[in-house]
Amino acid sequence: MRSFFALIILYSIISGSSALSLNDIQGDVICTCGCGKILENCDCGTAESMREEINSMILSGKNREEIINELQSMYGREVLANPPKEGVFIGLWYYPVFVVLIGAIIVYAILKRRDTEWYGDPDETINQDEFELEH
Amino acid sequence: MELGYISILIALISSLTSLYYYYFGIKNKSPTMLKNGEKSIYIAIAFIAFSSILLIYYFITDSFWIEYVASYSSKELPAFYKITAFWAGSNGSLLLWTLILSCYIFAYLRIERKDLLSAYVMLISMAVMTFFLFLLATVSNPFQEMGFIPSNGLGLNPLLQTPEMAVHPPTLFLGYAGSALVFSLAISGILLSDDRWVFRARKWIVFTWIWLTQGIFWGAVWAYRVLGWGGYWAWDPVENSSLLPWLTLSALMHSIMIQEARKGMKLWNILLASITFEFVILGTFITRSGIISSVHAFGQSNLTPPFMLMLVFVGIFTLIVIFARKDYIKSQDIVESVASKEATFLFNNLILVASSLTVFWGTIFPLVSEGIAGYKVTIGPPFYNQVITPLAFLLVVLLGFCIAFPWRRANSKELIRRLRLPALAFFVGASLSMAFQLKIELILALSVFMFSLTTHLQQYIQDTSKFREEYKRLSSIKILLRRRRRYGGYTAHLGLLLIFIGIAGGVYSQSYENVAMKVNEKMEFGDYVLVYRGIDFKDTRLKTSWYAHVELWKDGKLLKIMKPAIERYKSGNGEEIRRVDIFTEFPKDVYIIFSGATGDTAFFDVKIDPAINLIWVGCWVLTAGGIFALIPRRVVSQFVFKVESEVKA
Repeated sequence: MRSFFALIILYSIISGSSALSLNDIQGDVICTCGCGKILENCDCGTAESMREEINSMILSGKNREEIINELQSMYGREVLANPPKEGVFIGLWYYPVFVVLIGAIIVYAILKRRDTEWYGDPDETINQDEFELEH
Repeated sequence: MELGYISILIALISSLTSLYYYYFGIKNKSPTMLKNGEKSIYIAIAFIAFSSILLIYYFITDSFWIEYVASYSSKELPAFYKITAFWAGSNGSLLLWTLILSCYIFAYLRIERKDLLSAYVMLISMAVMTFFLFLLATVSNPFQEMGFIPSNGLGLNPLLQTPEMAVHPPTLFLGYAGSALVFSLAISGILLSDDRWVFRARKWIVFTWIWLTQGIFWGAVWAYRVLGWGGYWAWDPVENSSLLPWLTLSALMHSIMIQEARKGMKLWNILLASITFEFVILGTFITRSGIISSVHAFGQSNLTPPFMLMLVFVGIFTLIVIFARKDYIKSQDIVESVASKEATFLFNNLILVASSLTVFWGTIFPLVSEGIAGYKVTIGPPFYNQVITPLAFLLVVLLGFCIAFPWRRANSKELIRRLRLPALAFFVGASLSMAFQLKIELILALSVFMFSLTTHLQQYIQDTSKFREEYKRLSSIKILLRRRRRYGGYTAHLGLLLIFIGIAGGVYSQSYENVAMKVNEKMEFGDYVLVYRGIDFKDTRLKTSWYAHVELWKDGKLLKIMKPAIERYKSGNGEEIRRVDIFTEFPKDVYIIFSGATGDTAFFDVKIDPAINLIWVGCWVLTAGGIFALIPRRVVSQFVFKVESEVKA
C-alpha cells in the first residue's frame, strides 16, 4: 500500500514538471473586452491580442508569476480571474474550509446522539397509501 | 388599456382575493371560504394562461406595437422562434415563470387531498404567485405599448435561435416554480406542526429536482453547441444560480428520508426547503438585475428592490415560523450507529450544502469585494475548480459508501464483504490509469469512479437477489418497481458517476489547439487528420453565412466533412456568431470553431474532449433515475401488489 502511494506521489512530481504555455496563463486572467469571460473562453480581437502579449512574455523567459504581475500592471486588478490569497480576499479562499469545518462539527454532534427510534423503511413507505401514512 | 395587461390585472386581483379567502377560511375554519379561494385561484390561472397565449399570438402576428414583441422578434424570424421569443427577455420569462407556477398550483389542486395542509399550501403558493403577478403588473409588464407601430422588430438574438434555448428556460422554470411549492409544503407542515408534509412533498421534490436537472443540462448543451467557446460550464453567476437550488434540493431529497424513517432532521429539512427557494429567487433576480455581470443576464433593470425585499421577507418569515413552532421541530436523534445509511446521508448533506454555500459565496463575492475593497473582483473558474474539486471527489467516494451501508446499522463482516470488490476495482482503476500515464488527478478520478461504480453494480445484483427471496415469485421488473425509490436512487447515482468521469476526462485530458490552415493543407490532431478545403458562402434574408469545409479523417477513412461557420445576422445590430461543428465518436467529441480567414488561410480552434458525451448520457440517466423513483403508487399497485396478493393467496 505504502509503495502504491509513493508511486502516485512520484508520478505527480514527474507529470507536474513541464514548460510554461499559454494555457497555463489564460485560465487565470479575464478578457479585457468587457465580456466577463476568462481569456481561454473568449475569441474576440482583444482576447487574441492579449494572447499574443502573453506568448511574447513566455518567449522572453518570464515565469507565470511575472506574467500575471505584468498583466495586472497593464490592465489593473480586474484582469485577475483568481483574486489574490491576501487582504480582504482571504475570506473568499478560507470560507469553504470554514463551512466544511462547522458542518463537520455539527455532523459529529448529531452522530454522538443515539437515542433514536425506527418508524419505517423509506423504500417501502412509497408503497403505502398516503391516507394511511398521514393517519 | 391593452388586453393582455388587463388580463394580468384580473389575475392579480383574483390572486389577492384567493389570499383573502384562504386566510380567513383557515382562520374561521370555513369550507365555503376555502371553496371560494379555490375558485379565485382557477380564475387567476385562467387569466394567466390567457395573457400567455395572447403574448404568443402577438409574436406570431408581428404585433410590433407591443414593445416586448418589437424588442425580441422580427418579420424574418422563423415561426418556431417567434414562439420561443416569448421567454427571450426578462418580462416574458417572468410571465412564463408565473404561468408554470400556476400550472403547479392547478396540478396540486387536482391531485392532492383538500385538507387543512393543502389550504396552507395554497395560501403560501398564491402569495408567491401574487408577488410575480405584482411584478408583471408594475415593473415588468410584457404588454407595454410603444405608442407607435415600427415597421419591423429588432429581432431575436441569434444565440437564442436554437432548439436548446427553446427548451432550457421552460425546463429550468419548471424546476424553479416547483421549489416554490416545496417551500409552501414545508412551511405549511411546520405551521400545522405536522409531519404529513414530508410524505406529500416527496413527489413534488423529486419532480422539481428532475426539471432542475434538465434545465441545467439544456443550459450546458446550449453553451457547448451554441456559444462556441468549447466548454459547457464557465462558473458564470447565472450558471451558478441554477446549480445552487439543485444542490440544496438534492440534499433535501436525501434528508427527507431520515425524517420519514426517524422523525428527525425536521428543522434541517425546513431550512433546506427555504434555502432552495431563496436560491431560486436569487437566481431569478441575478439573471434580471444586472448587479453581477454575466453573459447570460438580461441586463440592467429596476427589479432589484422587489427581489431584495422578497429575499429578505422569505428568510425572516421562515425564521419567525421556526421560532413560533420551536417545540414541534425539536428533532429526535437519527442514528443508531455511525456505520449506517443515515450517517452517510448526513455526510452527503454536509458536502452538498457546503458546495452550495461555497458556490453562493463565489457568486456574490464581487458585491462583497465592491463593498469592502471598492471594486468588483471577478471570480472565475480557477476559484471554483480549486474549492469544488475536492468536494466533488469526496461526494463520489461517499456515493460508493452510502450505497454499501444499510439503514439502521451495518454488520461489520457484511460491510467488509460488500466493500471488498469495490476496493479491488479502485486499485485496478488506479493501476490501469497509471499504466496509461494519465495525469494524477485523472488517476484519482478514475479510481474513485471505479470504486463507486462497482459498489452500485454489486448492490443492484445483491439487492435484487435478496428481494427475490423476500418476494418469492415476483419477477425482477416487479421487484424493481416495488423498490423503485431505491433503484431510482441507484440509477440517479450512476448518472452522477457518469457526469463526474465525463467532467474529469474533459478537465484533465482535453486536447486543444489554435490552428491556421491553408487550402488543402493537412494537420494531424490526436488520432485524426484535418484537411481544410475552402470556404462556402450562403446568403438568406435572415443571415449571411460563411462555411469552412474541413475534412476529418481517421486511419485513412473520411469520417465527416465538418462545416463550422460564421454567421452575420441582418436584423437587430447585425450580430455575428460562430456555429461550431462537432463530430461525435462516443464518448469523445471533435469540436471545431471557425475563427476567421484571410486570403487562402483559415483559422480554427480545434478541441478533442475525450469524455464529454458521458456527461450528456449521465444527465439522462440521472433524469431517468428520478422518473423511475417518481412512478405513482397506483401504477405499481395494479402491476405489482395485485400479483403479490395473488401469490400469497
